[in-house]
Amino acid sequence: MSAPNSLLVALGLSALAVTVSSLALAASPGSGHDVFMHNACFACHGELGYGGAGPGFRGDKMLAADDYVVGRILFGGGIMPPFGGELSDVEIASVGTYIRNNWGNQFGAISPEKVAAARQTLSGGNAQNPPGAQGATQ
Amino acid sequence: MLVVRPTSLPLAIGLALFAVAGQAFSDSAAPNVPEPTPSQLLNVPVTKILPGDVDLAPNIKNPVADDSAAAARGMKYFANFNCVGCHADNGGGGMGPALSNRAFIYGGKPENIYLTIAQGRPNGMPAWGPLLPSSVIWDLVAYVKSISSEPEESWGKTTSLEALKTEQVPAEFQSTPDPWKYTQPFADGQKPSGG
Amino acid sequence: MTAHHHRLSLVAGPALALAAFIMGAVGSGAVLAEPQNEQNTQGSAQAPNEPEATPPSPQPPAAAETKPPKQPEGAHSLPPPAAAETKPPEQPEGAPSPQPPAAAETKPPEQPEGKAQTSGNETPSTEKPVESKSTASNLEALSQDPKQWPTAAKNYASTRYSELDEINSTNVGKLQMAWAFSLGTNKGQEAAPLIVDNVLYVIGPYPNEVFALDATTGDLKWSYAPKPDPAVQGVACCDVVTRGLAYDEGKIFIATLDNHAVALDAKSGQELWHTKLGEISKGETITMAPLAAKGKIFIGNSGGEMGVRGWVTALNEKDGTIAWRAYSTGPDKDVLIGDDFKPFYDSLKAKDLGVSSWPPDHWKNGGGTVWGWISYNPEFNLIYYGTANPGPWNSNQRPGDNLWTTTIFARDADTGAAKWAYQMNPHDLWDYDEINENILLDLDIDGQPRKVLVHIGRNGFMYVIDRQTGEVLSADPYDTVTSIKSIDLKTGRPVVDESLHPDLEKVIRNVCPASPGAKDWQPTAWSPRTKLLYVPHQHLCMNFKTSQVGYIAGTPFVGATVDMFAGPGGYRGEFMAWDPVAKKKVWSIAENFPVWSGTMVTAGDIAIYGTMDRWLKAVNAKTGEVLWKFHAGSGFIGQPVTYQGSDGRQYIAILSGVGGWSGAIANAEIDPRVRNGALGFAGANQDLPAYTKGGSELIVFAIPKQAAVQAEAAHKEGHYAGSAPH
Repeated sequence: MSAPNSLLVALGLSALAVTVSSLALAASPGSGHDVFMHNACFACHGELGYGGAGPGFRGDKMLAADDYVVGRILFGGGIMPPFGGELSDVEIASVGTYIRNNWGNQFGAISPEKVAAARQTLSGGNAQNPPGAQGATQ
Repeated sequence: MLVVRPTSLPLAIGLALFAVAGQAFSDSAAPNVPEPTPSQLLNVPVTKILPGDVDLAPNIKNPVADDSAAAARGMKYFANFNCVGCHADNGGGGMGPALSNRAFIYGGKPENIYLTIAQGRPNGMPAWGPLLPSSVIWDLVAYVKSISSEPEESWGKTTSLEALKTEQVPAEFQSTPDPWKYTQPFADGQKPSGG
Repeated sequence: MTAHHHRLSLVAGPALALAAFIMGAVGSGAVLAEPQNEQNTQGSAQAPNEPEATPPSPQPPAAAETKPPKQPEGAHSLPPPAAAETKPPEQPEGAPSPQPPAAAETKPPEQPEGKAQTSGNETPSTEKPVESKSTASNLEALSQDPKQWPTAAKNYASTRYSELDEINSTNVGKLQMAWAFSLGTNKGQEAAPLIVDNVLYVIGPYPNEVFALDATTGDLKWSYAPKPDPAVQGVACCDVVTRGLAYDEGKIFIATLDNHAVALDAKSGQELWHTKLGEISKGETITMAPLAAKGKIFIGNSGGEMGVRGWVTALNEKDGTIAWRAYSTGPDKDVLIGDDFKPFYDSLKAKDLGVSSWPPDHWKNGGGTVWGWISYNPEFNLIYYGTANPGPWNSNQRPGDNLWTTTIFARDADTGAAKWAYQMNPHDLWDYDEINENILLDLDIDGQPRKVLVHIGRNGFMYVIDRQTGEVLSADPYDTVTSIKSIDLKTGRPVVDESLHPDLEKVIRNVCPASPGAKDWQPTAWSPRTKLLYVPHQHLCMNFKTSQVGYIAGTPFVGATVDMFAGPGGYRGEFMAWDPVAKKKVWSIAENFPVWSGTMVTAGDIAIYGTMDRWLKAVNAKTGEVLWKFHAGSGFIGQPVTYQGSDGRQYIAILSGVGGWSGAIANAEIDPRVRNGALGFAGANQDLPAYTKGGSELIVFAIPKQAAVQAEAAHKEGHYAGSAPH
């Protein structure tokens, strides 16, 4: 490849990289684990799923109810802050899937569409007792 | 290969979380005492030497100072966030310095303790500010103030076999945010009473 | 690289780097690699996390000059040590090839043709250098020379025994301080000084400054200050200690608290290379004394209280690249368990036990760090070491045997491949790390000569183990034990007292030994003359309560409230002599505080140890009678060594400066009135501040010259029969 061509390729590649990366920044980080770490979930729920200030997720049967999981993340409750304003549907779906399927859990995935729908159907008032959970408290 | 440390949060996300979470937690704080503003916190000195010898330091009160449940909440957080792992039950010290006495390396006023927790310190204290809502940190401050209220006898501290007279009832026998209320004779390394 | 490629990278590099940074920060996909001179990694096996190596400096290190020291008459006539021949390190060319480097060939130094004694690079030996089986190394020869103390344990078998007998049980009462040197940092001084060719090398606690002194006069030759990160002080569980440094072929090797391995030129103190091995943000530190063998430096990490994943790493001495790393948890390929692995006990034979014996994913933060002692057997080319406790201390969170924590490994030194392993405390309940020293001995057991290792267990049992197979030949309690009833020799497993099981949130009282065990890291010595082990140790019990704990990287992962106190009888420490064949204590000296110092024993039939309340003692190795003592500036937690100076006299050296897990209450801000401080040690040593503060003094002792002359005369008359070289 001649020198000027390789220069163009380089510029094109770097432009592409910047575009891809800004998309990445806007859309979501690559994995539920990254959402979990970069939004301080780990501080209360622990990185090994053993909890802390918040409940542990290992073998936590409450996680089976996906409405509960989505509702909690969207609207918070007790000492848990709401993340609905912070995180996109993709990110919430991603981290919800992560906690439901990590550390030996196998509770299935959550889709971004589910999260989008929950924003409509679950209001802040319902967040304390979303359908499928029993009197969720800290 | 470039190695990116995973703890380097983009500042925007961190501050946004801080604000949102602070809002969510403020319900549990005593409503009448205002939280200090960021610029007030920025102006808290860590030294007694103020140029001009004029006290221009902001007058800050712990927003939960009048909340009798704050120290109990702080005690829970002290375990939840593993403070107890470095500072020990009741603040006895270990990897980190003791919090069970009135000596604070970086200042003992509530705002000093708040900033030590939030900012971390160079000799090993981690920085919790980007991670924890301010109300959680103020509850921890309330707990630290409670456990550090040792019975004060002198300005300095005398150490000798005779001077070491009392110890706290140890944490395996009781759990309280006010451990200095419960003391027993110093055991000189032997089995503690109640054991 | 072609010119094209180079230009491309000039333009695209920064842009790609920025993109890569952003992508890395949000964690998506692959990080684009920027062309860099990257010197690192991959011996034969795994890529350790983020190690970096700097290229070695280009100038050739000066060879260690050796002059044959004056041989006092009557001393054992060993050949002088083979001179260290050093070659300039290879220049790096981009990424080095990943094959394991050629093992350091050991042959007697070449005699340059035509040159006699003028090169200055080597001293031609007047006698043939000592050869052992096939890989006699300079370090082995130095170990066999009574005048030297070239490795922390004196020799690869870790006997800490010296042939020197100028100081002996009849004259040690005349011992006096010859000189002292202050290291300048008043934290716990655990290191063993090394002496090679009349130069004494010693390393201090964080910030890990290194000093080289004339071993006879105490003059300072050079010092080296590394730059460990101050934040590491917040993740070191048990004071900011280091247990020593290593020497080999004219180089000094250290490990800083913040996970840097460094090589220095022994003559000048110049830095040759440094390699980062771990991350303090994950709670990792290094406190152990590295071991040099077969051209490699073996280093293990610390941090079992911080949810760190344990490992031992072998670096190539010549350039600091990593030859191999063996983890203590995880799949077999990470633990370097392969076809050569032949554990003795059936419970250790299944595949990937380092995963299956844990809850899902927990092995990644399972502990099993390697912060204690490594021994080496040249005949089998095996290193032996033990791994530390599983994390967290709250065992209720980690059902399963938690392999390979509290495990003794035998590994091939060249490749790291595990030959056998034996787990001492499956599903450890009490923080009984098993990193204590393994002393390699040939003993007569039941009338048969056996090649064994003796391991003084943290769990209170004295183990004699066949070092070729990992079979436990005997395991007997050597102190008060209530937590474990016995060791079942058929299965190798402890029979625990279930009534003391630390159920969640239940207060368990009077667990003996306490978490530091009946003996912690402080090493034992063995005398081939008396056939006894000399064991410094503690005598503590505890109350213990577990609680649920979450894992947050960089913070402690413990989940236990601990409160230690003196064991039955009220004394907290003991120095004892133990017969490993008869399996009994022969004599002992009770001490007020735990005996947290190391020990050594000599052909003069004296053993040396120090107490936390500032006494250095010399005892009769046969009878235990205290023959001499000295009240030093600060309590002792360091390791005594002995050597011969250039004046032909015998010296004893030890660091004085209390601290460590046991003594930090005297040098740090820990409250004696709060028993649970310092992971429970505050309760046991709460009165220590009334006896001592921290210190930093290297103290060197000798018998004054007049008395030494008399001793020599007595020796010539045959009063002290020396034993054969070992």
